[in-house]
Amino acid sequence: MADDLARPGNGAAEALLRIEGLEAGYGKVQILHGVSLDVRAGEIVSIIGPNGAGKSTVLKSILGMIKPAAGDVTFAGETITGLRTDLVVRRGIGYVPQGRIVFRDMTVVENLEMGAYTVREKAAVQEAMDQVFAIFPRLAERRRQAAGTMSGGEQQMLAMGRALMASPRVVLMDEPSLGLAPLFVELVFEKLEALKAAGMTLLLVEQNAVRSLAISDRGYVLELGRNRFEGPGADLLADDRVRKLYLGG
Amino acid sequence: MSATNRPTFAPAVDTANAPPLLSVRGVSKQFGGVKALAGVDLAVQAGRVTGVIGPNGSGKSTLFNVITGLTRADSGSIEFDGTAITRFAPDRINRLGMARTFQLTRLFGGLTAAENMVVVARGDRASAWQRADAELEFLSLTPVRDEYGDNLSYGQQKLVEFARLTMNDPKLLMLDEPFAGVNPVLEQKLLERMAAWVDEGKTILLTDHEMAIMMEICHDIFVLDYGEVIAHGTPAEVRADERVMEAYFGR
Amino acid sequence: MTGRTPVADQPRPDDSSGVTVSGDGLAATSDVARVKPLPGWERRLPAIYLVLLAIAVAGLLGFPRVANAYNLTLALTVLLTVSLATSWNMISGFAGYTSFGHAGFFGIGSYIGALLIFNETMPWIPAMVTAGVGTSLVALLIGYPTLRLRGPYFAITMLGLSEIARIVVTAWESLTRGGLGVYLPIVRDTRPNYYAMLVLTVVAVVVSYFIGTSAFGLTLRSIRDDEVAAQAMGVHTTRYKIAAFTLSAFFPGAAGAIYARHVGFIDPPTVFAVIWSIRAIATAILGGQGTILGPIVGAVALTLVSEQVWAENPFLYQVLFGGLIVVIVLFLPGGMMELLQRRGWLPRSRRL
Repeated sequence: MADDLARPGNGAAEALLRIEGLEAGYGKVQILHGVSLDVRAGEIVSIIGPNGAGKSTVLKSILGMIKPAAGDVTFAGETITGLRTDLVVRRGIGYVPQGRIVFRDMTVVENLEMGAYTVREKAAVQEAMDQVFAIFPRLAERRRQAAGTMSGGEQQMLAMGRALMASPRVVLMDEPSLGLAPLFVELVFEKLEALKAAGMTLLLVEQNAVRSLAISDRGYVLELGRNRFEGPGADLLADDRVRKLYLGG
Repeated sequence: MSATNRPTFAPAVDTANAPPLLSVRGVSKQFGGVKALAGVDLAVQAGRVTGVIGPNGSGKSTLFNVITGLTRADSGSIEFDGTAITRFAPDRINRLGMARTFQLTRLFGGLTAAENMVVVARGDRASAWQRADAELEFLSLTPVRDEYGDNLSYGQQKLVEFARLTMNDPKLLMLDEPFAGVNPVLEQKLLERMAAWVDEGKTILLTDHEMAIMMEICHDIFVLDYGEVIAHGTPAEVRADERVMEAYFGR
Repeated sequence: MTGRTPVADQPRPDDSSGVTVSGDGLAATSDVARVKPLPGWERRLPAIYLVLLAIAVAGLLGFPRVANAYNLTLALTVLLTVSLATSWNMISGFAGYTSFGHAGFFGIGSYIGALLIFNETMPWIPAMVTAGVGTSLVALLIGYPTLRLRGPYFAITMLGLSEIARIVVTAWESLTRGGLGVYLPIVRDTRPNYYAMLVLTVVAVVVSYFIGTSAFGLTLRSIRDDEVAAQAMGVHTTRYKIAAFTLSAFFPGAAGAIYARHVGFIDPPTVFAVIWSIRAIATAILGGQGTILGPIVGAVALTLVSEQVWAENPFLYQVLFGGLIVVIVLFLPGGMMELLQRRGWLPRSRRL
């Protein structure tokens, strides 16, 4: 595998990304009532939970798309609570939004170049693109294809690749397997494991709890905007209480 | 802790053998390359509470929008109270006796709570004001009767939307995620209102993610996943169904 | 009911509607006591309006006796602008369908009236009424297709249609005399035109009041606030929109006819000039669109000010009016009425 796409992280014990007591919502509706979690370098951490738990809201709050009403977000030791989104991204947090949002009229290469918008040196952009193509050979095959004409799974690859272009230290992903055919769901999770093997740190929000816990080092289960359970991925997967949460006690 | 006197939802009349009030047959809808609905069959019996559940992206919202006329299906048919409503405009469907709420409340912000209700009322205006006041009273909203919609709190908006729903005495009430973002106190109020409707013999079709409530109040549940109905039955049957667990929790 | 207890403490409900407050204003505190009742005088508004209207009409009727020619024309211009602004407000303010094509109605009405007079088909008063009705019919025709369009698209389309009307009138020389324009018999006495405009304006204002306070107006407002929800609640949105649109077209049409008679000569570039739309919009939104008083107050104030200050320079005139629209939309979309209501000097009443 090529060089790390991630820059060297801190010591394993120190949290790369930390949220404490996060309270946030949309207008009149409060979604998060004090959520805490942390992500250490090199980990895959999953946030799972039934709908309405506020999983996507957590990611959006980290990215500054929603200004938290209370709580702190710390990244690499610095507070970034409520920081503007583009500044958050420039600090090294990548984002793959829900719904495979790619620039439909642009080619794969152009989409990836957009991902490297904040990168100055052309050489670095080329290098990043080569690494993305190494992880996602399917994208390399279709480099001149318009993103809008690709299948759902390929678009998800592209969205993920694009997030990697600016060499982030951690990537936040919002429901990467949502709405994908089972074959592509397989592929997505394979690629997530490949990213981890390449040294990337991932914070994953997923509906497919089974799959995501299976590849996660640790997981957090949210319910109605609060922490409910947490622990190693395998443990949560085996815990009956977690399953029960989904279909109502 | 939840209230001790939860309302009961026994249907007023057992209509299990009558033709369904609403029947959806083979409805499909595609948005671009995504199949939101792939041949959905669904039937709602009069006087009962029918639920539609399913994970994110399963097509619940699209199904609601197709039934209520906000979105046009690519294929399939929908019949309501003996009339084929497949291509009807939303206002026409409403006038036939189907009323709906929205996931994110859609009140008329520049109108007061009472005006929100009266503006949609058909028929005699004077009685409309009376009914509006009576309904607001039932929901303890009389103090905010003259407050503008966009000044109401989220909970109050939800209640007013509920109140507005019955101004024209609809036969079928379609509730789109009524419990979204709702806490126990408001939940109790909404449930009370719904129970009263069921007592009056009204029919309810609702969708929500609050599993516990859905299991508690629905007589019939349809489970959607990837735009298809993967399970159908009583709450107990659905809960025990492996496929449903897989749809939600993953496989 | 197991399994639903949150791990953390109970939410703290602060009011009967069951909303949890945390941080600052994520959920509005909804104290029951917060609803401000309308002040007593609000109930008397219909009576107050009647008195004010009577006084205004009496004053305006007597005005020609004391005014010189210049002031009389100024008054006529003020009344014209009130008509335009008030009628624009019917479709754009109350119904929420912002139109940039009011000039088109003005031009069409102007031509209908002028041609009827020119060809001696009928005396000028019936001609004026016919112009208004004719323009309404045009609105009825184009209403169905155009009112399906959403906000910005509707606005631009109306602008385009106004231009198309101008081009059609210019090209149809056999009917309209095209670019030559229409000369009408010189009328030295401004007063009949003034009175006609006064009557038209009073009618516009009264109609506006009735729309604003009636069930019809309430329905229009619901369409403005959320058309999809209104439809889903069974409102015949198409009918209501077309009704408002048709009604709103009568007044610029009739006013255009009076204008034609007043100036004695019209041609397409003059009566279809976009500035007629801009004036209606700027004055209506300055005063406060969607209200009854807003367009009236805005039209009177802005017309008087602009006529004194910068009417001499037509270029400056257009720039300032256009700029005013931008500024208001950016900083105070509700106009003066919103300002007064925010400060609590006026209540938020449908009668205003």
